[in-house]
Amino acid sequence: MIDSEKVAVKSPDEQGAHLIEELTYDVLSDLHVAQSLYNIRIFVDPDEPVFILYGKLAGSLPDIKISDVATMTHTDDGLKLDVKNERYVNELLAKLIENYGKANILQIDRYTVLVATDEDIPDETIYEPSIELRRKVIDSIRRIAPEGYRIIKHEIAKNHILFIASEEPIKEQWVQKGYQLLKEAGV
Amino acid sequence: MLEPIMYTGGVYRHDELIELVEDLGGHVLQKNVMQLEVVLLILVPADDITAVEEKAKELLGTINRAPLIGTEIAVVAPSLAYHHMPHPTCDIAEYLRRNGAKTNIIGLARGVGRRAAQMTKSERGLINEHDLALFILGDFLSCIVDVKYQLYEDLEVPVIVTGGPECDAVPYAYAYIGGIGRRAKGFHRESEFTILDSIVEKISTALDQRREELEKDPLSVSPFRLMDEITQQIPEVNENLSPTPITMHLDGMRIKLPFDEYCKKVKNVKLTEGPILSDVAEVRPSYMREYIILKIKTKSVAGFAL
Repeated sequence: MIDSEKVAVKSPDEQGAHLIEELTYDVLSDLHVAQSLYNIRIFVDPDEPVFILYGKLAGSLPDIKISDVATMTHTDDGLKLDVKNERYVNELLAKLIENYGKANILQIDRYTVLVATDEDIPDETIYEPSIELRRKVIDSIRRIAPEGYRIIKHEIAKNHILFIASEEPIKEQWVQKGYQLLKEAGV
Repeated sequence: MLEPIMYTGGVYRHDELIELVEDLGGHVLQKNVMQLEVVLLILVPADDITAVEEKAKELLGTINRAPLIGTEIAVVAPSLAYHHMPHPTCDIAEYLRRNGAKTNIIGLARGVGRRAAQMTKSERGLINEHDLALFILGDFLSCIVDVKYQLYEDLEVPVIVTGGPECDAVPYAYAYIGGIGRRAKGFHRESEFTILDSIVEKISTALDQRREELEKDPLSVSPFRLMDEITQQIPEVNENLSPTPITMHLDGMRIKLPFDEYCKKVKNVKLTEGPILSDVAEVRPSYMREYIILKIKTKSVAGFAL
């Protein structure tokens, strides 16, 4: 759960603002981003119509590389990868297939993968938690925003997100309002 | 006067209850067998309800009053996206089903937003086939009061609207129920169940009013009697895998058979007094799949009542 000071909703419609606030809490905890998006400020005016959301993004886990998931040893059959962390096997296999082709990869059991190569494979990133987090955050914001607001302008920086949505083409004054929310939040 | 009740009990000997209901002049509208449990939606003459209660007690089953039995309700959401599903649309539809209604969830093609919100002719036709339409709207009062009524102002069936903000009434709707709106969580608290109960209550009163209107110019034949005749004379209807091969409406029914193939057969169903079905009811294709919609003519239109 996140604490109640984390979401502040402003709207000419007070009842609507309260309901959107409740919805925000539920959506964030449903999608497990309650700890990752905080200090949320929302301005919503259905008469304009506009929905502006500003939120601070928490830092995410570091990127996962091949060496974090498996150890490599050269054998007569080719390069053998012993999987240490099964959680990322799918991403590992996808990366290997992308680099070496499906015909050159053989997964003999849950924890062992053979690659038909005599050389060391470069220690590439196979999974970026930050991208996954952003995807979840954007998904949750789109669930909070009214569904009819399909015209979207957003800005994602390393530690904040600004999201403006409307039914009409985005007006300059809404963008300014968004930056004002940023200022209020001390960015 | 038929009393709508829902029986829940074991499969063992439940046929005795069905026989009893039929002997008393009641009707079994739906039978759902789920492994060893059976749920029956039945209509029993109000005077004989104690006999059914005793039988249910003997079979260790339970009986609940389900006021919406024999009606088909359209639960209409602006879209089928996660903004409205599964909460609250599915939760409300499920609660209505537990009260005996047959519900259909309808997601509009262009129901969202303010500027583009509209309803197509086929959507309107489909909703008008039901007994009542329940609209699940959002959080902002100005949208609900000033804009969204455009979706349902032309409907012929009574409309009940639910939304987030509290408000006494909205234009063109029979009733408005606040406190729901867009939700990302289910209905768990007692206060939330009170809201669901109030929806059922409002729907019951709206349907009672419709029944009263029908009584002023009664139907030429009881829809339940017509249902029994159709099931007997067109046995193919029982081969349909739908839980309700014949879905009852207040003034007719939806028969889940292809219209082109069975239209003539349905029109020619014989009634013991002499007339055939087309004398007492209007048969037309449904907007839902290829089904048949049957609207029973009133006494003034048919010229007689059976």
